[in-house]
Amino acid sequence: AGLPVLGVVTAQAQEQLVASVLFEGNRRFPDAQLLGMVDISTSGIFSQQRLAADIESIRRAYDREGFLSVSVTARTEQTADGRVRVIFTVNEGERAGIAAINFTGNNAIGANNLKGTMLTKESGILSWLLRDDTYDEQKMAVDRERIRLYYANRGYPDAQVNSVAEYDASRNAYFINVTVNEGQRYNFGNVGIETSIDGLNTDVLRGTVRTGKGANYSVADLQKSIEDMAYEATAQGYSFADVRARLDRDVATGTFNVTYLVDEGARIYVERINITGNVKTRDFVIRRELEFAEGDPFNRSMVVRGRNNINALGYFSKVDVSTAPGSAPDKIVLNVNVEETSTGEYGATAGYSTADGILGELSLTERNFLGRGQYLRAAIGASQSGRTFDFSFTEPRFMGTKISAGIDVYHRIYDETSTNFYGYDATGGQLRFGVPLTSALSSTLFAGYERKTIRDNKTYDHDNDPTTPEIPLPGQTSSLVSHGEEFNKAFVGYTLTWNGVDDIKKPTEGIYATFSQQYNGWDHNLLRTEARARYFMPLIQDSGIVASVRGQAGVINSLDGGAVHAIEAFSPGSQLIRGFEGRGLGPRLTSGEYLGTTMYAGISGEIEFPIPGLPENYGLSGAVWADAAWIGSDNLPGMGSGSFDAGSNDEPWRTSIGASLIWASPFGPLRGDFAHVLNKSTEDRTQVFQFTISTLL
Amino acid sequence: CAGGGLFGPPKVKEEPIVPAAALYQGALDDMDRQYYQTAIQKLEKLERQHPRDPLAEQGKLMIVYANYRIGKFDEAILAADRYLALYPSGKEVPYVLWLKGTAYFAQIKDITRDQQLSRDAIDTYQILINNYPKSEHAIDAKEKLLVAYDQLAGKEMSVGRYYLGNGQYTAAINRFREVVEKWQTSTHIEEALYRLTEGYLLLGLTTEATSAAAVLGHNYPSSEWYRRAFELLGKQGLAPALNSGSWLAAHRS
Amino acid sequence: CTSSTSLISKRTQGYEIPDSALQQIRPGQSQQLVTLVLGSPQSTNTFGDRTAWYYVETKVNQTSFGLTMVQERTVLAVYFDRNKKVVDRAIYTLDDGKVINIETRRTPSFGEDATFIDAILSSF
Repeated sequence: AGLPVLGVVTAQAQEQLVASVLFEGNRRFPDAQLLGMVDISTSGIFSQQRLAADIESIRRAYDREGFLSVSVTARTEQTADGRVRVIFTVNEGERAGIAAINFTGNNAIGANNLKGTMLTKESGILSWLLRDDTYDEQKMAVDRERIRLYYANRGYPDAQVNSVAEYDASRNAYFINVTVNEGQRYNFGNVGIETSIDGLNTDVLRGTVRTGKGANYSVADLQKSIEDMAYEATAQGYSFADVRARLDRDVATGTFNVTYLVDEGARIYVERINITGNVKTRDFVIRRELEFAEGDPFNRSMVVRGRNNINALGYFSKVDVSTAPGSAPDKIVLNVNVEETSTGEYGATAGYSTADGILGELSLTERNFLGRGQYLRAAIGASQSGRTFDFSFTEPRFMGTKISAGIDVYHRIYDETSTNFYGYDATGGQLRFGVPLTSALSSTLFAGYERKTIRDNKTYDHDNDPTTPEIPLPGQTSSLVSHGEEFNKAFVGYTLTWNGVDDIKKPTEGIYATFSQQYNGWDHNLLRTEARARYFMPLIQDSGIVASVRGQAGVINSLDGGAVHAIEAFSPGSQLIRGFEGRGLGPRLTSGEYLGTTMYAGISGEIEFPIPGLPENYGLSGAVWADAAWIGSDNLPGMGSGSFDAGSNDEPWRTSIGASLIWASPFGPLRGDFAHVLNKSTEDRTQVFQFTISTLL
Repeated sequence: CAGGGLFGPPKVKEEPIVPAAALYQGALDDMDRQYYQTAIQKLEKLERQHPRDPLAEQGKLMIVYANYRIGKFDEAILAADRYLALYPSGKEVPYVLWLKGTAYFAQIKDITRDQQLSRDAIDTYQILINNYPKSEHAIDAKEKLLVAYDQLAGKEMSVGRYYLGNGQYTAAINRFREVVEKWQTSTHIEEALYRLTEGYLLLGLTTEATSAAAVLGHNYPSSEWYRRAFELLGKQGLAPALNSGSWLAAHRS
Repeated sequence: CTSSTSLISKRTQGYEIPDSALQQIRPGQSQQLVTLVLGSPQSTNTFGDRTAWYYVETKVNQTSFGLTMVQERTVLAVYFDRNKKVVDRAIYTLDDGKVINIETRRTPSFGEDATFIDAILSSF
């Protein structure tokens, strides 16, 4: 009778209902999270197999987080009504970190740079937050590949990388030893372009080559040159142009001679383009980024360019482009799957700027409004010296072209403060059109209107006796403008922008320049011209040290012979030369009121470097710089009833040197500049520390 | 992290076992008072504490219904899948299928967006109609099926119109042909035929244009789109003429 | 980034019909031969038992700011009889294309087209 009948019965008897599932000793994962991993709690039925499976899933979760010495056990207790209470006890132990990552054989590239490319990081003060110091074999394999690619992009195509990790139980941490066999260093030799397409102009193609003679061998540059060249060939009307590179290695001279072969690829046509995953973005907003339609020739470089364009929209966290066979051998179906990300932000920022003191802003930004790809921003700002209301809207593809059209409307109130002699309300708006000209040169046309109403009637209770009338602030009435005076300005202008830098967010190479002219009419009749350019150059190869030289100049000419009104004059500040207070630089009236200038020029050299010892992902870098600026005083703005204080511009050349700390914050790069002014005019007001948002120009 | 233990999230307390009937009845009362969220919590406790109880099936159905009612469509679809997996031949399957299909249907986006939700609604309604043709839910499912199909046709039309406006006439023609071939019962068929007339005219294929207009006139003589096609051809000195047995003619209903 | 380093880029939309291929299409040929010479059709049409294949080649110049100017268009139509033999061949060019203005009204369709307010709310 003891024999189980066919063994089925016993399984049935074992099935019991669960009263509750409890957890003990868990700190890293809260109970709710563990409950989610456990199958018993949801199914309500207890069985040994489920219990074992649940223990394993908890253990694996801890393992992934680096708790390698975790032990998970479970016990069951019978409750009064015959159900079972399951209690999981977790003994987490300490998180195993990574004590050190050592490199051997890396004589060409420093260990710091190699560590920078790896996902696995050494344990540091922020490891408990970033959790990037867990040792994981797959992540290590990815890191080996990243190091190999890092070498292949810097002249070492044959580099081999392998790594060994030892676990030191006493310190509960890993020691990772990465051994690199760099192989021979290679540069690019002479570069040739051969084509079987007659009529193809190969000199134009040469412009897309990034693998110049003598440059470091780099897989990335090779890939980019192939893509750009194929794209350039299609732009000459050869839709099936396809580019391959033939590399022949010359071991003696350590060079690779590159020959780009431009030929007609297979004549395949795009039968259909399916766009999926766009639950919010409209189909045409994605489809129009592809420069080809259904039925057009299939060209790999155009597909890559299209994917990059869709990515550049910034509405998607993932863009996958895949192909599938079409209904005929020479037809192909293109599937574009996107995963949308949030493009709307409620912004509530508070900040401090030396010019306006404490400032705050409430903003609402939507980059993909109504899924039509349009940009919308409304912001209300307040600072110690005023309030601003801004609204702006942009349609990126105006009337189906690549021209963007936008409108900005604003109302800004600047109070009268102790430093400026008068305040004003400015209400205005402008229309703008962005016209891309070539891949590096783009232009913006704008036209608008602005009305400024002066407010210069601030009084104060001099004898803090509320009954007696207040008197105006001493010496604060402006001699340039009078209270209630109105200035209407209608303006039209253009800006040309040359963007030749390698990466707009963190440029290391190339030139970025703008040139803009603006005619101001109605109550004024003047032309305002400004030019700025900055040239970036990496100093020591891959050290991350970047030198840049910036030049800028501006002039306002009055077109009717009269003087330029002070309200429209330049008031150069820290963007021209660092080390001076806001409105503390340049021509001034004898009454101390700031006048401004109609001519300025400036040159500035800077060297930016990563702070040694600090890991890269903290986003901190340092810089040393030297600025020089010239402010002309031969045709000054109209001085109204004031008279020019010669002392305010007796030394037109101002120079200063200093150092800065730059933090790549989520709001953009913030800078703290420590400045020492070398020479200045007597009346200029200097300041040692300044806190600003660093701009590219 | 280290601080978790001190003021970490509350420990899961032991749940008292509540009899199944009390839980189920409590949930029904909550739903009468429109407290769907608390009703769902009671029903989930019922599912957990009394998996073998006969009320569990009805409880699972109620979870699907409650989630659907408060617009939590994804949860409703998940709960429906759980019900269908556990009770494939339950008597409430048609209703659960209808709830699941309508949960997809309620989220259908307009035709300029991805129509995956329309396809999901179509697949679910199709199962309902094929397996339970006589159930009263199948009737409503058939109507909603037409609307979902119409959305797929609408998507083709919206892409076709984009290409037409962008000057890529052949791509547009192929998209409109897709509608004429696959979705003859959709409300977009008339416009598709009209757009074919436009596309062929723009390419200069006048015989094809007149044929398309002729089929439009033949099948939908009183349609607004036929009047426009007639005028359009008139301006070019053409008239809808059925070209000797055009394929489009094959659509003579 | 936009098209290429030059201001104007030349593109071919639709099929690239090699000039030599145009002459090789003669009545009596089979569909396989036409497919061999021209490739599979871009668009097709049937007239009762007759079928028609269309190959449309449009040469355009595109400026970097997205203006497309059509230079020339060749519409090649190949007509086949009941047993799939070429019966006729017709070529239409740009000037055959009729100039019409495209109807802007559309068939109304289902689906919530988010209004202004909930578009803002739903995006956060």
